[in-house]
Amino acid sequence: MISRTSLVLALALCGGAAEPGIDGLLARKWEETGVRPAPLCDDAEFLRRASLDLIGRVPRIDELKAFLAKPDRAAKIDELLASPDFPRFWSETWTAMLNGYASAFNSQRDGLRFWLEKKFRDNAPFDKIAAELVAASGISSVEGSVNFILHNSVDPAIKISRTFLGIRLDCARCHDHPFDRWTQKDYEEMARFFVPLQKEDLPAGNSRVRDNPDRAGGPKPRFLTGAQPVTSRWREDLAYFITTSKPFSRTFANRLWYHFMGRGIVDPPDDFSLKNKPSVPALLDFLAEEAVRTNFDVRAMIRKICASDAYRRSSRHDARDPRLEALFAYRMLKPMTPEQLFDSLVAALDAGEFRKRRDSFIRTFVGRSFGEDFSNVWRYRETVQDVMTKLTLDPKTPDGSLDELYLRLLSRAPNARERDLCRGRAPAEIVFALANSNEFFFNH
Amino acid sequence: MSCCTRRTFLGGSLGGFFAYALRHREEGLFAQESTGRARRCVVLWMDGGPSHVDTFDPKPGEETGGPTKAIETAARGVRIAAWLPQIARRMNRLSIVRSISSKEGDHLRGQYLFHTGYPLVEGFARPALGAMISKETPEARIPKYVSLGAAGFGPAFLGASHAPFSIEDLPQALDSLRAVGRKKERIKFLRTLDDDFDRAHPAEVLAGREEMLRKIEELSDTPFVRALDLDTEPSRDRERYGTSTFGRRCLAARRLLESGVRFVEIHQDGWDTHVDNFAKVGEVCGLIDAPWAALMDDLAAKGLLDETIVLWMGEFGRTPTINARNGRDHYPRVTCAVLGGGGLQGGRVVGETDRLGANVVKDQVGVPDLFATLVQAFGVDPKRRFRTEFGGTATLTDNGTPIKSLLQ
Repeated sequence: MISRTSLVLALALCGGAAEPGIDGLLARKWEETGVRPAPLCDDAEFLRRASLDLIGRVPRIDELKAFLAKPDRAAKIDELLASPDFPRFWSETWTAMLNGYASAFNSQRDGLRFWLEKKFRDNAPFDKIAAELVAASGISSVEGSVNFILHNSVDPAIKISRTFLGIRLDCARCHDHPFDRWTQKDYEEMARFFVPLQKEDLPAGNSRVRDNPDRAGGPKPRFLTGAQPVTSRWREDLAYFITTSKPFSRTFANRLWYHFMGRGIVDPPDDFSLKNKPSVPALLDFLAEEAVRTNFDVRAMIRKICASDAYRRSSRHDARDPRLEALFAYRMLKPMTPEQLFDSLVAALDAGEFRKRRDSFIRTFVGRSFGEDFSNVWRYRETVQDVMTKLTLDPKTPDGSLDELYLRLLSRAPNARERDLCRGRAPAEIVFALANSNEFFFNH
Repeated sequence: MSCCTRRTFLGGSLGGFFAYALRHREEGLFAQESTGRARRCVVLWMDGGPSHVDTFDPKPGEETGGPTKAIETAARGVRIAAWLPQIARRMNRLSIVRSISSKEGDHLRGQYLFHTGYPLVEGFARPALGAMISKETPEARIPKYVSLGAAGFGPAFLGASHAPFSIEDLPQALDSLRAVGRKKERIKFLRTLDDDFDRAHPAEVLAGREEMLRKIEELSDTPFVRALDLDTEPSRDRERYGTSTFGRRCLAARRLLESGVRFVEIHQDGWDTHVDNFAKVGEVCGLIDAPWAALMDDLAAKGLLDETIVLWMGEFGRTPTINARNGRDHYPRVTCAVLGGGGLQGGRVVGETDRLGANVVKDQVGVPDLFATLVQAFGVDPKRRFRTEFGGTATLTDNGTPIKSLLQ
């Protein structure tokens, strides 16, 4: 195995490219640490994870058959990225990350989501997206981006630092950070960027967000790097400081990696600190440089990650080993979000007629109990009641043989043991079991 | 059934018990000097913000007192509004905190504060009291934190296993629990099919999900489901709770607490009395008086009151000033709460407001102090720190100080 790894490493290092790339950097790390990675997944598994990660649902049976007949992975990634479901699904996960599922202070969640969907559809550079979110002004029903600041208006500095810089100032609100460099003064000077921020309630549940220059009279704010605004439009200056900083590109790269791999190179992905260092520093540097080099081109970054062998590691492993997980030697499991689960059930069971119920389904499985923080979308959050409610849904039973049911729901044929267990069972029982199985519910 | 047997039974498996004992030894959960007797808690949540001056801090005869009258209660020298005659007769078991003051005059923010002990900061979620109590009580086969009539507030960094089991509609919840019960065999089949995948993925999340499936498979045979079937309650006892939604929730709460649930929140709205305050307060008080009294009586009769805290509260008080529409508006500066049972003192009054109920003039407390009192009553050190998901540590109660006169 060592010799195979060395071979990979050698190929990566002496190939045409001067840069070793994602796989070369990981191979080097595995070599150094004597880690043996899991084998690569098969084409059906690849299609399942790519579909879930990019368009938010499992492949339909016709898509699966077509791909297995002509398994061109790069073409498939392009096809998924061009689908209207890509910007829709990505705007949903980003909205959850930024605003959760509840709406505070008249913030209009859909307004933010539509705004993000358009940005992802147009492949807007991510630094521009972030800058617009930080500096947004206007009326909530007109300017979708403003709903991020509005929702997080109690303490925008905290959420913005965490989301776009991976820095948690939470502790520094009340005292100096116990095990990081940030002091209470850092927090206070960051928070000052938002002193002029003013929100007004307007009729019909709308709000206006703007900066009131009269409130910008006090001491100037200071960004974590020491930079201070040169204009009186403090939030615009802050947006510029943030998106041109190194933590921004590293956090962006790490977030994308987290989305696909289920684990950040820094993990959790919003906690870069002295005590929480990247597990593969060279890989993080490489991806962050790629982000800058491509001008924060989201689709280009996605293509790069999805084309790597790293993205195709099997999720199967013998024993849980946090060290192997940190080095991405096997694929992490990711629970489906409520959106993914609904869309996957509809796709697997040909149940388009239920589409109307999508919103209420999502509300049910997010609930107000989880009107909390969704910064890390892949955290497992199911409660007993969620699982119970899912078990009371009677999924529609499509026609077809046992093999077909398995292909629809699990993108694979049953093995001998499963054939045995399913013998004599009604299709409805089998669909119930597969639709509620761990293999269906987790992206693997 | 003796108290001990019941508790052993409810404590779940022996493994669970050992885990509990070990956890306590490691974390020094129970401070040596602690005398906390509380094991359960029921919150009567008065959504909208109940008027303190028309309930537990009446000001009859003052210019802003309105038509609300005050009556003597079973606690000497303690007078409450005449809208609550049955509760008045049980005030020897309940104490009033008249001096809670907060800054949160918005419903959502006030509700958040009174459910978590912390002000709301988006993106920095705090666990609800019910989740804290779920975390601090032994493992069980049944949900430990139940919210009746509302979704309930979440567990934040304490984790999804301490999320509320929300029962917004009782008959519907019972139906779906029974529907799951009928699917036992299918669930078993599903778990067998999961085996291969689970073996190839020795991940904690899968083990956790399998454990939930197992619990659900067994749930229909637990007292939890039977507790929700109010038809099995003798009709004479059922009548004391009445047929109102709040009454049925109180009865369900008592039965859930008996079945081993640790924390129940009962939701009652109608308190946001910006318009026509007095008629509305009279109406809601009429709804809650008898069922609340029945709940107190039953818990006492069953020997549960001594280890069950009963807590009545809402998100803020209301303005002493009566507005142009004969209503009262939000007034977080003075908020009152009523609590008893669980080893807490009854018949006492903490704090005092001025002539009109506009300012606290004695023993002002904050919501963190109320929460510290509650967790202390459970034998949990209010100063104990938890690791939050954002790296730092925090006490459960935002550095509150227990209210001594309620604990002694």
